[in-house]
Amino acid sequence: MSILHIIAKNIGYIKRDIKALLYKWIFCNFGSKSSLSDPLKIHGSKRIYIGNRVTIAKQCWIAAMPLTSSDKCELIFNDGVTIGDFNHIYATRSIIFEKDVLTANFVYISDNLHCFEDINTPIKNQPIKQLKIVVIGEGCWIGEHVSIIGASVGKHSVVGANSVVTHDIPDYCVAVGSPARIIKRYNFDTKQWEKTDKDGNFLSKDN
Amino acid sequence: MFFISDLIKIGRFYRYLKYRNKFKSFGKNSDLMNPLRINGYKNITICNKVSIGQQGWLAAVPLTDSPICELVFREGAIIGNFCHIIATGSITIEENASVGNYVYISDNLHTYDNIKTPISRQSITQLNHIVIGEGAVIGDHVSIIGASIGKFSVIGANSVVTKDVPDYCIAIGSPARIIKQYCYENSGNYNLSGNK
Repeated sequence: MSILHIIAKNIGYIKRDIKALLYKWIFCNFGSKSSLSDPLKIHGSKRIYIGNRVTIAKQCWIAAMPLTSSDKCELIFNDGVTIGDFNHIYATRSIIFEKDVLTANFVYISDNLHCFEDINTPIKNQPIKQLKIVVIGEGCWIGEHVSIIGASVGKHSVVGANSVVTHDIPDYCVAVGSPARIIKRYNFDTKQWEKTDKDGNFLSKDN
Repeated sequence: MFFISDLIKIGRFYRYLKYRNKFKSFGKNSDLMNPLRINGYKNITICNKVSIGQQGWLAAVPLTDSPICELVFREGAIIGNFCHIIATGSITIEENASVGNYVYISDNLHTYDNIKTPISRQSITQLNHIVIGEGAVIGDHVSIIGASIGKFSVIGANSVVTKDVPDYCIAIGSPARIIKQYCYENSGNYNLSGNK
């Protein structure tokens, strides 16, 4: 096998590593085997931490800008995170993706909102309001078209398609809808996923 | 003299030549503009007069143990921009169906049964095969997950369809509920029935 064959076979990895050299210089940290292909926009790259084996797919907008004058501003992708296409992630204080999080396409995650209190000023000219920090727990799966606005998602939870998360979701839950409500939870006694009411209490079997 | 319509035709013909041999079949008057990603070319059938918008992601990959793996667009189907259609079993979009922008159609899901393993590393579950019926209209930002849509049905924007929708219905919401159905007794009018 000639050297050309080897290059042709590994062209994807070679491209990724050449890009990584550039990104190591731009970002706060850019781990090994991470890839960021064709981003739409990157703002505040020095505040963005990217761990090892992180994949960020095409046309994503990732930003960490201290627009709310909070003392720290960070956007952290821990090891093994996979982000889908067309995601929009905007941190003004802190958004943390724990290990091995998976997001689908068109996901919007933000820890801030526009103020709209003053009715005489257009909302786009009003300041940005800081909400709670966002932590997406380890091993989570965020579905298609989900918006997460100032709320955290627990470990190994699932957020269904087209949901809007505005309140925290605990560990080991399935939440759907707008606003997102818990419909299923892992029962550690029976070691199964079981249906729950919206407060997270298990439904009895006859319902 | 060249007109803009001629340029469009030339562009379409160029794309026909480009995709003709890559796909299982690619109709002569079909168009597929600037796709984001295409996986499993050889499992995708695109019939005549199909139009697929920009930045779409089409995939037909046998990730589950389903016996067939195919993605079929029948004649006259129109798909909007930024669509995300991923088939591990079978997805068929019938004649003259019209699908909006940002639509997600999938016949599979990630498994999350094992709480010790991250969901991104667990296997894929196969759901029911999907048929988007003849002349159906799907709104923008709709997610269709393992459910079929009947003939001439309408799905409202931002809906999530997880159960089959019968023929001649209008369904909206998350999860999608039927709000109207064509009434044969009072033909020409939609019956506002509250049944689900």
